[in-house]
Amino acid sequence: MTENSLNIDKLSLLEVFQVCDSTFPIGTFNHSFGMENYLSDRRIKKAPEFEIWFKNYFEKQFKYSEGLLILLCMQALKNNDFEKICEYDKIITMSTLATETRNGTKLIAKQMIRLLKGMYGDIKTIVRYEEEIKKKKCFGSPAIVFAVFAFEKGIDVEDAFILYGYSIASTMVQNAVRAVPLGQMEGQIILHNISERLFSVYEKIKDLDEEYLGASMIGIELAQIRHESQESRLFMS
Amino acid sequence: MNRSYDGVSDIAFEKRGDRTVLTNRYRSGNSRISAQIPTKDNTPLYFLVATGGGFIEGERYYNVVTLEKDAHAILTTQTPNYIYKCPNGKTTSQLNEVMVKENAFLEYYIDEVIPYEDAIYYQKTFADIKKGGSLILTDGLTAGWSKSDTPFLYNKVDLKTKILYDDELVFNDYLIVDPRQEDMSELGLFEGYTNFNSVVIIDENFCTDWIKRSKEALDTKDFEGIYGITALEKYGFVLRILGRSSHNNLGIMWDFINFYREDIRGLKHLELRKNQR
Repeated sequence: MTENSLNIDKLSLLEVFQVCDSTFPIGTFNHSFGMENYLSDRRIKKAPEFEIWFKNYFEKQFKYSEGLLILLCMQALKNNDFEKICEYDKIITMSTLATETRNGTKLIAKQMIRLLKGMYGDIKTIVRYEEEIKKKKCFGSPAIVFAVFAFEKGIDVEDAFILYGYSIASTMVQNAVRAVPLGQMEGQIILHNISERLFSVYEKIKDLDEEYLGASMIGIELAQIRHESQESRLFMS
Repeated sequence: MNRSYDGVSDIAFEKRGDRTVLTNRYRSGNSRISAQIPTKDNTPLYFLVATGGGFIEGERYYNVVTLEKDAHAILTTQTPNYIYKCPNGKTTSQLNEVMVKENAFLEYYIDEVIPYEDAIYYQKTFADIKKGGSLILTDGLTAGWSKSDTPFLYNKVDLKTKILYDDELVFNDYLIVDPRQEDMSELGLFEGYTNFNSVVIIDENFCTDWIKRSKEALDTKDFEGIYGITALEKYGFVLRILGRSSHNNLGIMWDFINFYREDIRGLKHLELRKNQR
């Protein structure tokens, strides 16, 4: 590898990392993905309960939804099969039962597209995805936008999965530090534990096909539904 | 088809004049279809029965329901679906295929699954609803049954439901429960509850106002547990319940169903008299 291409690779990595940074303004700080419902009925009070819910969010929902979506989309991009991506967009949307969570992710996807277009101009597949969303043929999923961007930047599938998982986890920990509240140190320890877990989650789904896409777990899902009628709240979902 | 399944039912209805009539009633193996049960609004109601009172390890069942256009029928399982003890690690499975043609209305009340110790169960329900058609579909899962009364001693359960409306995916629900790998009482999973029930209603006239009205129709005085109602992306809404007993969950489940039947569809109150535990 020449020095020049190495530099490009490192810049690409940094560019993807920037999108994963919890300060990347796509509005994820507005969403607790159901966690806030456990705060409202006091089932999450401190770090230990938060960590259990957080682990299960990754093991039972993220794994089969956004996690598997990244893997499937990267494969579809490799095959140059945009139709498949639109199909996955539909499956993931129709698998997300809670209206608020579904609409929240659509908004995040929209923001992400806007930012990436502003920063990088027109990335062909992202422009195409945006058009499909505008035509209401697709709904918009941040994991799909991320997969497209990571693919463009030459990131491999496992790295894309780990990076996106980390990005979701770090934002959710920031949200928990504010809302539960957790201590900053507790938050970082929990984030590190999840980072380690992401590798085993990847191993569990790396050979799964779209049949599993969108599988979820009742407790997590019900909290997301119940958040919709919660009286006091900091988060949009 | 019959050779590879331990029980098959294939039932079809058609609208003739102002009545819905049964036009096909095929069964084989361990699957039975009851005689027609009278209902207050003369909608045909049939029970689907497994002759052994449940499924045995490794058995495979296949049920098909077809409603021709404008028909309205009610189908239900007779009892909770017991998946008997599976010491050999073989998967028991059930496949349900539903076709609801234009402007037909199917009420399909599948009882909850009660897996015995070590059971492995896979259930897939696929519904294809044509334009103007509507569907009420229930299912559920409990903490299972074991001699020691310890919850979640079964091995694995997959419940998958996929619904198309007017050839477009509107509901894709997949619950994977793996008690060998996870503590089911944890937050995010069953959270200390033992009974999960779900009701999904597909109706192209759905509007969010129905959520508010259906919530008001639920009598939650004696209900112990948590529930939520939410709107699908298109054409319908869903009720999810986690509670401590089937009896308890069924109360609000039927308030929800009867809200839709009576307030939205103008039908009479429906009660399926079954021996629920």
